[in-house]
Amino acid sequence: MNYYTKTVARLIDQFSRLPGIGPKTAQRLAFYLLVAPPEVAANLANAIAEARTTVRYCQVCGNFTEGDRCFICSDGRRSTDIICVVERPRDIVAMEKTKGFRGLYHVLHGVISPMEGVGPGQLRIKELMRRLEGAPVKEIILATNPSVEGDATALYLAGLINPLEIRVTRLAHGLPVGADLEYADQITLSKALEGRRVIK
Amino acid sequence: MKLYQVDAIVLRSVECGKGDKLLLLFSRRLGRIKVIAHGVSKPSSRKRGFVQPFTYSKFLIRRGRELDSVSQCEGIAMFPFLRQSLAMISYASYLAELTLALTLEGEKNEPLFQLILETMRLLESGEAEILTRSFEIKAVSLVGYRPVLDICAGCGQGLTRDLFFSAGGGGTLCEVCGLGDQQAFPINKGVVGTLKALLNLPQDRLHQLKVSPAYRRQIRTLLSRYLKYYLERDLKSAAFIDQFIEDIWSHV
Repeated sequence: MNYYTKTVARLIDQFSRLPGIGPKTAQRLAFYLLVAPPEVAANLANAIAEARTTVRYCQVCGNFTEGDRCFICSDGRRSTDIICVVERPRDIVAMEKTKGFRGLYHVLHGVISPMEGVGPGQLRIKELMRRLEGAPVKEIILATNPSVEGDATALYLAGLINPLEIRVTRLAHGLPVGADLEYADQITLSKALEGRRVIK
Repeated sequence: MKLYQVDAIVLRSVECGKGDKLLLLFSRRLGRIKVIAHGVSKPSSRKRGFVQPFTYSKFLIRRGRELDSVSQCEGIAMFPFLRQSLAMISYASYLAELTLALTLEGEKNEPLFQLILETMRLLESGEAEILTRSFEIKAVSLVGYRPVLDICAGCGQGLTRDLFFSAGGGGTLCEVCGLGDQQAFPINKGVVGTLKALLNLPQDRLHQLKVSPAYRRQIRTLLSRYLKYYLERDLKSAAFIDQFIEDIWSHV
């Protein structure tokens, strides 16, 4: 049975296709837009359409950008001899928020997953290797997630990059800020022990 | 009872938004079960480490209307070596994927649970390939598809000098039955002997088995065809191992 007019039903259907949005949330969003001032809906529609048509992948690193190169790759002040490899563009945002990294990035757009049948050929690994050819890169930081897939990807990349005599590092594993030792698992705790540092 | 406890191996975990993960567990007591673990992708989660794939943990699970959820968990064995090389990750993924393919939700299979637990534990020994082949033939036997290796699976007579193997035929075939089976391919007695050893030797004694590279290749092909026949599909991690095996072994 149809409870909505055709247009409203279509709007709810479109919202419910988005990740994390169920039918109830889709319905709430649709009804909000129907009663909000017309410019709210118009601005949202314009923002979506504009983002979808103008945003593409950076030709160098694979991050989202509106031009050929993203704002990080175009920034002359950033160090070009260190590249941080991440899984997804949103990982760049997380890294940038630390304000502790001033090098460049490379986005793989996925991770190696034997169980999902995702191999290195489906990631932007060739692009990374091309980037390293002849470039003055001294260090690659593998910042894939500390998950099984992230570890698999990091191990594969380390195997490819190590023969190029470029320093390959992995983000440290250990206890998160505010965590209790009591609740730490054996792998995290042993990694934290391995990576312990002198305190002065 | 609202809460229940299981000791289980995490076979697979799937991201399902807002830091939650859907876990496919294989437990000794209840077989394969599906549960949700809330917030385990967040660094602040206390359960995060214990719900990683290939860990053997003790779970306290809360019954839900649609899906049960992890209330508490504690690691029993984390198998850290399974994450130290691409080969280990690939073989552990294959063991997990094969177990998922061979079992149904809620179907208890304690010998299979013991087998995967022991195989994962022994993968550290470095004989990952032989352990995996043995796991394949033992696991498929434990779910009821044990290949016939002592007599001809077609006519029930003793085995002839020239032997064949057919997945559809159910195992080894004599010369007469083998020639009449279009899927059958010739194998030698040495391969059959190795298959018997892989099936009968306990996992912790497989290191005593010496298998030549030629036999390893034949057995890999033979068991892969046998599994494909019963599963009616290829396993993604098996294809991954086949494709990257040379790369993989160079990283071990």
